[in-house]
Amino acid sequence: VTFPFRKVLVANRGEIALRVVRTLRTLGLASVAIHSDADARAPHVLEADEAQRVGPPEPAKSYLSVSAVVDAAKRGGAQAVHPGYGFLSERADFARACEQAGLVFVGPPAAVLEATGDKLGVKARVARAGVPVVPGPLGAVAEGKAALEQAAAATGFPMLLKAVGGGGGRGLRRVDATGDLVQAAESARREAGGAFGDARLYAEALVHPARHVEVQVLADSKGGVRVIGERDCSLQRRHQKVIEETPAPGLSAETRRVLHEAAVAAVGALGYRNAGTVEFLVDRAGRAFFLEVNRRLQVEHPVTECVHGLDLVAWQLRVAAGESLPAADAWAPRGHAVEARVCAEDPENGFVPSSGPVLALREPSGPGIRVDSGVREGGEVPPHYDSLLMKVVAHGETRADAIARLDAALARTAVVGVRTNVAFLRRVLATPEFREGLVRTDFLDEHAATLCAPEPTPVEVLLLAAAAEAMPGAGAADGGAGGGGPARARTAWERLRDWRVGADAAGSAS
Amino acid sequence: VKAGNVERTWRVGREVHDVDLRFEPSRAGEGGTLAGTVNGASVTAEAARAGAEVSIAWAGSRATALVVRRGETLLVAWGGRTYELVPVERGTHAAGVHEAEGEPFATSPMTGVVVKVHVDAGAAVARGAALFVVEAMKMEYVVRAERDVVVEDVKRGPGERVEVGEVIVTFREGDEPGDDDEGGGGGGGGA
Repeated sequence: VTFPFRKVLVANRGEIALRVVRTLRTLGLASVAIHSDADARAPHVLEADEAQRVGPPEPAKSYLSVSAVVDAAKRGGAQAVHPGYGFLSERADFARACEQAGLVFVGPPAAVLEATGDKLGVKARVARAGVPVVPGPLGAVAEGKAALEQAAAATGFPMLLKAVGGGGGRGLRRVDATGDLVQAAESARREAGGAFGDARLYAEALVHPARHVEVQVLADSKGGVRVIGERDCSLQRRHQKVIEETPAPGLSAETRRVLHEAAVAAVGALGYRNAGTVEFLVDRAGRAFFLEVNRRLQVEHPVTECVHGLDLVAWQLRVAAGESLPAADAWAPRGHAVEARVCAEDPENGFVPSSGPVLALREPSGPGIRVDSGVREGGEVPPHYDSLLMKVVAHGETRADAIARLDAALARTAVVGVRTNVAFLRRVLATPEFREGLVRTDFLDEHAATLCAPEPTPVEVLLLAAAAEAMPGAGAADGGAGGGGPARARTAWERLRDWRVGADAAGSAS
Repeated sequence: VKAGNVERTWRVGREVHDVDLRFEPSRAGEGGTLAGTVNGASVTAEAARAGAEVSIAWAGSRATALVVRRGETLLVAWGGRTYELVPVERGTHAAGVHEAEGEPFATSPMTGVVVKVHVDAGAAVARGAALFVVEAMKMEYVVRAERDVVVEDVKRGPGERVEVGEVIVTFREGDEPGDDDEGGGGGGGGA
């Protein structure tokens, strides 16, 4: 393949920026990272060939600033821009600004993003193409109590309020009773306005119990469309995906066929191009309901890459360069893959985000294990951005193999300095419901209390701590890379003072 | 490594643990043996260390952790979880640890920005009602009253940046209905 660009700006941060940079390298393309002041020494900056500052820590003034990012691409001499996910990835004005600046936007063309920016409009168009959609009014909910009550009358309770411009659980609220409508809408509008610059909401009935199943698609500029399997992302906490897998467990051949065909129909109806994901809810009877199209790479794309043996970022770049997709059977599935999102948050304290220095870090490795990480030892988790630290992905011959590998990998994962959800992830993996592939979207919210309850400290932990005290480590390891200087030296001396007189005399040389 | 005694009382969350162990280095010079008691029960374990990685062999199986010191606190990352061991005085009881929660204020659970305050000074707030909302990492977090309280003062308002643990709302002492003698009232708490 010959690319019409030699240098690509990666308009993102964290693990996805690192992941895109690595594919660029394998393709012989140069990379330019962007960073806010909070990320000047972040791993994605160190990984890229070059880096450009885009502004202060606040996302709105840095990673979400169209002009700052386009200016960075020009300053860095890039000819193309890969947006990653989140931030500006689905913003039509950004894709348009790139095109106007002569930059290839690695994603759907600006015209497609413009025509699909209104989630309600998309829903109406795919419904006309015969794709089954979630019941609800096909118009935004006006401000005020009366309009909310009218929408609720159409959907019934429980009802979902969703951001017209949204995704990722932001600006999304479940409402169970009339009395909660106003406060829920107020909060959702505020969150949606802050996250997407669009405070409009729409209402849908809550399909439940349901699985969240999404279909990965690639569409080239010559009308070629390929389905690359589906993913089950039913394990969600407050609409944030926690664990994802492919193939979706317990799906009948008929439901799978319906989903794949509906995804192709949706892509056709929207004139969609490049990599995208068509999301559905599947109810107990196996009926599918279109949710939305995600017009970008998904966080959970690695499970698809593991099972289907392709590099989706490479294909995003190839499609953007005008290349046609290969034969329909090019990416046959093999085995099963499961991904867990390791986040800086505290499950024992309501999942509040945790930020701070990463004092020590151990990422798992081994057969069938892939880690997409955005942190490094001695680095910092800033409070301004998404809490995703790394994704741990396990690939195995069977679903049980993949789950066993993932659990073993998570057991070896250690992040010291910020709180993480790793122990919570392991407890989720161990539940009979997940093991049997029976999890629906409400599972985590119903079981969170038991899955988050603190467990007694094992004796091993006390022995490990005692062992560390008995064998004071080297400075770099004891006190952490983020520490240093007099404070650390003093604590070392304090520790030594605790040792009994006579112990030193009995000791051998260290 | 040198021989020595490790005599500690550690608080881990709401638990308190007593450790009394003697460490004897192995003749090879790498690692050694820990022997003594943990919470009064006899234990013997082999131990070794390489940088931040510490491992023990105990009760027929091996455990390897990353151990880092942060001030006086030991952070032990094992099995996907990081335990925070805070040294306390010998004789500290687990019940005593709970008294730390009896502070008459609600703090921000994270570093972020206050987006909304639901209460004013003087307001009587029922247990479970929202006190204020903090946003960080693009997510909103609602802090609720853990019991019935009367608001004394609101320290921070919408748009203000706050640090984790910073006091946002204070409660009037002694005003809460059903106040008992067990260490005063509780603070605000999680969602």
